Order: sequence, then structure tokens, then C-alpha cells
Amino acid sequence: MKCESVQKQILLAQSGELSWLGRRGLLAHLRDCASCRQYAAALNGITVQVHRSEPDVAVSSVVLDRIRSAARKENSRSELIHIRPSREPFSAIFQPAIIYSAAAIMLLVGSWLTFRPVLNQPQVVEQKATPAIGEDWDTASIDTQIETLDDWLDVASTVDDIPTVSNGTDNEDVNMIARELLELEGQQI
Amino acid sequence: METPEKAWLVEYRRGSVDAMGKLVEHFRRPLFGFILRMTESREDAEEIFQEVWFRVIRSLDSYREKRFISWLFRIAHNLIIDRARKARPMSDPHPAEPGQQDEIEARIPSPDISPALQVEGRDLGQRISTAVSRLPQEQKEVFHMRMEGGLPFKEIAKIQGISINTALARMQYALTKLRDELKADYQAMAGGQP
Repeated sequence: MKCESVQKQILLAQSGELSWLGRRGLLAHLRDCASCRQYAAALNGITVQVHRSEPDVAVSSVVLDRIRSAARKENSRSELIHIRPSREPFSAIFQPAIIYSAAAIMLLVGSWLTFRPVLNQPQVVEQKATPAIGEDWDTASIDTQIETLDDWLDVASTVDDIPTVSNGTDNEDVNMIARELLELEGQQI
Repeated sequence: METPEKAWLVEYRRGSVDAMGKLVEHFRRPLFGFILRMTESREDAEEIFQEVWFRVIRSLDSYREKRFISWLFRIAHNLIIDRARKARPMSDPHPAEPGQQDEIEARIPSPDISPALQVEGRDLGQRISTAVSRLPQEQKEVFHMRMEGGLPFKEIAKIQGISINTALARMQYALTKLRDELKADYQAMAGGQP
């Protein structure tokens, strides 16, 4: 280890900023290096001498009185600030108002976004109503057609039974009519 | 461990002016000693000392430093620099030759007139003080912050706005200068023959 960096470590050790490991390394170096030992001893000697030769550090009473007076004034001012409610900071007064306003705006926007489809619904209904499907879809005629078809089917079933029940020419006529009806039914369907 | 200054700060915030008095007294020796060694006259030193405490009182709510003494030294450091800058045009009728001294160095008091050095006697402490007073301002400041205030290098570096390595280098340089100026005395302190 170089003596220059060791001298920095000596300074750090004196100020209590050297780690335990650093101190171990420093002590190991000091055992072997007379120059660094002298540096450390001189540093301690200078520190002692500087403290011994301390200048007169008495401060005039006028200065001390001024400091005390300033402290008293500042303290009383601080008390006044705490007493007066009007001295409350701007944020303390307006913060709740700002929060409530923001909440109200968010509520309004949310409501508008939620109910907007409902408000537009008439347009959708109109779209459904406008096509001619509803008007053209004549349910009455469907019923009539179904009834007609049922009748025809009834007749048809009768016609199917004809061979078993028919005897003579009248029956042949009936069969013919029935066949015609069946043909007609097929066309209709 | 709870330091006494924290308790006094709490007391002062609760309205006790006496607590502020205790704080001022507690830090008087390191703070005023430092300011005294960094300024030209006792009047200047007292003004700066007073201003430091005015600022502390005004901005106590914004106090966030780990150590109270570091905050005091930081304020003092700023005030000393401000004063040196302001006073320069007035006290510069005979400017130094180019390259001889920088702006702040020009404010370094002469050892003969410094109040810190007006005390009689030629003891080793005085010789050290004389030698230190001749150091460049930033080295002198590191030396006194460390010696008078007992500040760690980490905090000295923060106050001066430099790296801890630079702070250590400034201290090393100051000690080297002292060694050169106090040859025999240095040898005696280092354990050699005086």
C-alpha cells in the first residue's frame, strides 16, 4: 500500500470514518512504516496544539442578546400563525373543494358514458321499425294458408282411404278429385 | 443516542427561548472559533456568528441535516464566502500581481493583524495558527472544519461541494505545508528530535 493513500486513511481514522477492515489494514501498515507512524503522530500533535491555542471565543453579550431576541420574536410569530385560522395555507382550505369538484366531474362523465346508449336508443328502434319486414309479414294470411293446408291434408287422408272404402263409379270420381287436389297441394307447397 | 441539541430544538419549537440560548452556548466554541479563524476581524466574526443564528431561527422548519453542527458550518461557510466576495472591491486598492493570489486568497488576513493571532506568545500553537492562516482559503477551511468543528470529511466535502477525496487531499496538502513551515516543531510532534 502506498504511503500517500495510507495518510488519507490516517485522516479518515482520526475522524472516525475508516471501516473496521480499513483500520486493520492501516495498523498492519503502521507497524512496518516509520514514515506513516510519524505522520500519524504529527497529526495528533497538531490537533492537540490547535485546541490549546484556541482564540478567545467569547461572543459579546450584545450579539447573544440579539440572537435571543430574534428567537423570541420568531417563536411568538409562530404561535400567532398557529392561532389564526386565516393563516392556514391555501392548500389546506381549497384541497377538499378541489377533491369534491374532481369527484363530481368524474361522476358526471361516468354517468354520461354509461347512459349514452340509452339516449341513442330511439334511433335503433327506428331502424328496426323502418324496414318493410314487419309490415309485409301478414300473419293472418299465414294462418289461412296453414288452415287450407290442413284441410287439404284431411282430404288427402280421406283420399288415401278411398280404395278401402270405395265401391262403384262414384268412388272413382271421388278418387280422381282427390288426386287432383293432391296435385294442387303439391303445387301450393 | 439522543443528542442534547435535538432535545433543545424540540424545546425551542415548543416555545422555550432558553433552549435556543443553550444551543447557542453549546455550539459557540467550535462555530465561533471557526468563524474567527476564517475572517479578518472579531467584528466580522461576530456579525457572521449572529447571522448564522438568525438564519437558523428563521429556517428551523426546513432543517433536515443529519447533524446540527454541519448545518451551522454550512451556513457559516456560505456567509464567509459571500462576505469575501462583497468586500473584495473595497479592499482591493492594491491588487495582487497576476498569478500571485486568487480572489479568496486575497482575503486571507495577515497573521500580524489577525485577532486570532494577536495573543502574546510564541508557543507551538501560535506558530501552527500562523502557518495555517497562510494556507489557501479552501485548505484552511477544511483544516479548521476538521480541527475546530470536528466535522467528518464526508460532511466537509458536502459543505464545500467537492468529493471526499478532494477534501482529504486539501487536508493532506495543508499538513504538508505545515510540515514544511514547522520543520523542527513537526519533527518533535512526529516523535523525532526537536
